[in-house]
Amino acid sequence: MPEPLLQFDHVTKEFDLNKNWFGKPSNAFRAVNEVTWQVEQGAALGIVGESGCGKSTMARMAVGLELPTSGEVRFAGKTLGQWLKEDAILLRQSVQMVFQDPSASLNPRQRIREILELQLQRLTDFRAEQRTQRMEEVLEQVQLPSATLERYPHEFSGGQAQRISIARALISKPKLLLLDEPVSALDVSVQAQILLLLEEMRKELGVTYVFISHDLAVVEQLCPNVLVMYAGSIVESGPTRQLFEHRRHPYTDLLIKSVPVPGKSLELKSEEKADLENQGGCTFRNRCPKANQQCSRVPNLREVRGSIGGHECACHYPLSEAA
Amino acid sequence: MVEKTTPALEFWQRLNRNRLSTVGLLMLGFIFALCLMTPWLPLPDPDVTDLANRLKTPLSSNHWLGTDELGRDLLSRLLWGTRVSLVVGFVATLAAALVGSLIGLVSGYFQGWIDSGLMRGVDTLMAFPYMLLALAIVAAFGPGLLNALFAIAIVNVPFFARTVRGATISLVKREFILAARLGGASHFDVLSRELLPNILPVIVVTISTTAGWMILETAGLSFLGLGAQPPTADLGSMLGEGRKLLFTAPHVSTLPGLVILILVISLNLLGDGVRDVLDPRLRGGALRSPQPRTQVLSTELSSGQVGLTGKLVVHNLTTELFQQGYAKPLVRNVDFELRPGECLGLVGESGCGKSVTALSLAALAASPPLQISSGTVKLDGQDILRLPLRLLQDIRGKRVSYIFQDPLATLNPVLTIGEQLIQVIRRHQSLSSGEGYAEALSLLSKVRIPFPENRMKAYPHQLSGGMRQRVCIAIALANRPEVLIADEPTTALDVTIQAEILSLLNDLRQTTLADSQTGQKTGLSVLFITHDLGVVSTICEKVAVMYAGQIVEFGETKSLLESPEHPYTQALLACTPRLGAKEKVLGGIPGTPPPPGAYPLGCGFVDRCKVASAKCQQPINLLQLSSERQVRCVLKQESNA
Repeated sequence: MPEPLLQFDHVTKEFDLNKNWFGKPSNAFRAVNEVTWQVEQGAALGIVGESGCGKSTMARMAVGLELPTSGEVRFAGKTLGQWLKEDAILLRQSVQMVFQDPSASLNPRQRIREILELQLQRLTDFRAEQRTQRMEEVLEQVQLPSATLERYPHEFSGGQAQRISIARALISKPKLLLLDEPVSALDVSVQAQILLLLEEMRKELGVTYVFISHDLAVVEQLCPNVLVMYAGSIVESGPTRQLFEHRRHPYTDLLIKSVPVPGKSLELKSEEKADLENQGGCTFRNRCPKANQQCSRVPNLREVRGSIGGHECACHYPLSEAA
Repeated sequence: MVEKTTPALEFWQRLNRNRLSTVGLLMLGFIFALCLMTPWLPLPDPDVTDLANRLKTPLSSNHWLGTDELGRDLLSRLLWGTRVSLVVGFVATLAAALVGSLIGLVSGYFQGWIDSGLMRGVDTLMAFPYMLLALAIVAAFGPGLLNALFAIAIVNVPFFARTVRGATISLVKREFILAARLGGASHFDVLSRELLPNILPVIVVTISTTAGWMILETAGLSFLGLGAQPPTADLGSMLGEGRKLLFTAPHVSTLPGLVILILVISLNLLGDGVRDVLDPRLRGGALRSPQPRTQVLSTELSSGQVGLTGKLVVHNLTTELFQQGYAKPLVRNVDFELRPGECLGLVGESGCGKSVTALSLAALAASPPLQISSGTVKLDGQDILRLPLRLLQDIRGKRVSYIFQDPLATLNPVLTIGEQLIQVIRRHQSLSSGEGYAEALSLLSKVRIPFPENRMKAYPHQLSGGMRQRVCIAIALANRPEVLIADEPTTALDVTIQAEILSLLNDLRQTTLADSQTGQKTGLSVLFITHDLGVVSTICEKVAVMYAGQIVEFGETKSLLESPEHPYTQALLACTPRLGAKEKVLGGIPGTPPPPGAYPLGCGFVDRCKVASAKCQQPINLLQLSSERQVRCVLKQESNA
């Protein structure tokens, strides 16, 4: 068993919505709730969920932009808190992130040369000619001409800008790359180009990926393993193909059935949904067709019986094999 | 492609477009030049008194502008005084800008308690009337030009601090700042190299709009005797000295007053121009407010395909972007028809012209800069593009209605859902407000919004994204439209919510169809614009695929997606990832689509096409393959010939 590169250990993140007069939080929103998972060196893990499910908060905690309210996030055995105190530069070198909006993730007032060079100046002690060499190298890896260096971000299309973002993330030769919806803002034809690039980079450089997306089909392209999140909790996890084919959680089922596929018509059900706000218990119970009294207890993530490869599901009434 | 311009050159070109600011610049330049030359001009000493020649009127010998009560030459005093006022005003502006921007940057960047602390201090400064505060500061330090300068600078710090803080806060959450922090940048590094260059235009704009005001304030303090001390001349003190003689020798106070007026006006005119050029919110033609309808250039009346009897027949529609004397087509010769009760999908990637097409149908494309250069859009045989505005407005929202991508941007944030619905209903139907309310309520339940009575009183921000889009659908359906144009209505929604909205739209379409079978034979026709081929399969009977402003393929959804004829449709389908598919779709289509307005004359897909040849460079017509199938490709034309 290879050593985990990134570990989330019972991690919870709360945001204060209101503060009282003394600055004490009076109303907190739990974005991530007691989440435990890990990713091994060289692996690619997908995290899937809809907006507001806490997946971006997890990404921010994974790179140390946010610190957990409770629980621990560990990179290579040390907590991020320790890393930031002891060797923040090495952590930044080793853990990088690519953001969703390619045009917002490049400083509009800097040429690409400055964007890339600043990253190298801040993270390495390369001399000027080493920096130039590394910049050209990494641009070649992301298949952009070296003339790119002299241009400004607004001169590039979304796909090209995302390549530049990837180049910036890879320039310090990181071990772990967090990809937060890196292709969601791109057109399908360009999205597939970027996915191929990411796949090649992973094979070539051995970088570990944590790939966050709302799009199941995109995750399936790149990640052998996947977590499905709903309202701050992991509801199902396991090998991607197996999880999608033999899904057990009613939410995963709803999610997969809602994805429109070209050439096939969605089965559109016009079900009336109860708008009741049930507090506590399973987070999905208000939308779940199978929910009953039992669901007021929080379900734990348990291994699916008879599964291989660590397929887990958090549901009191998992779907049967036939579903 | 793009004309070679340096940012500085572009700045001047844009500034010059605002004529008034050019005038301001010229006036200011003239005053500056005069002030710079003053020491070398053959003028008498401004401070030497000559009681024999006191209160000379303008145009008297040796004294062009006359003298004051001590016989000092007014022209000389005016020029020297303007120098002083300008220097004090500008130094105070720069000082306020420096300190204020620093406070704004730091508090906007760090936020939390640093922000609270700094901003409460700034608020305290702002709570005093500015003149009173300046008076207090001068009173504490004693009168004098330098102290007046300090006072003016301090009084104006809050203005800069608040403006810069606002701009900083809007940038701090941007991904490039996060990326810099992840790149190991120190706080100072982020502030100076990432934030400051982006804030600088805001600071310059603020300087240019406040400098005139600051000069006025300096003059005010001097007028009260707290600024420049005798015998030093400055515009304010000259005004003060002349006040006593307002009736006997009006020129002594009128002349410095005029100079102040000209100075401040020219600075404000220039400041306005600078703001227009640099303010990002005013860029991109936002200053020119669009007309209520798209400009239609041609006057074709009866052209159009014979035999098309659809509800909505679009023929030869071309919409162009008109900028700086050039017309660049965004939508090129689009033809399609929407039959009663039919749902037609218009599919394409961003920048292919599908949204401009949608907006052009009811002449809603923003004009300027857009214009419709040819084509007709016929609703039941009547060309709606060329209707008088009043009749067109009667059609919009009644017979033809729209749903857009972002419901939060579509709904008015300060009106309740109920008010917005009732407004739309009563615009087109003569109902009492009570009847309007009842109608609105029934619409909300029709789009399956639970507890409609409560939701009538809700504001848009209190609803979830899916609920908001339901409200937009209710508004679109309020007046029982014949044609519904839905522009990416589910793109901003989660897939599970998207499925619900699609199901709702489908049901609504079917129920209107059922209604019509009893009465007239008109069902709701839907033009559904999307980039998602999966969504099309779910809801549309027919599809038109757009690329580079043209329809490249048209057909029934099922057959088009099963056997695409155009190389673009084929490639697009091949690179759409499908859940559980055996093969991965890694790779995509090489290259990028041509940017809007730079479409080639021939096939738009030629640069990315695997089977392109030299023939693809010429304009290609849509080829009718069968009664319900069209394709725009040279290869098909050859194989069919």
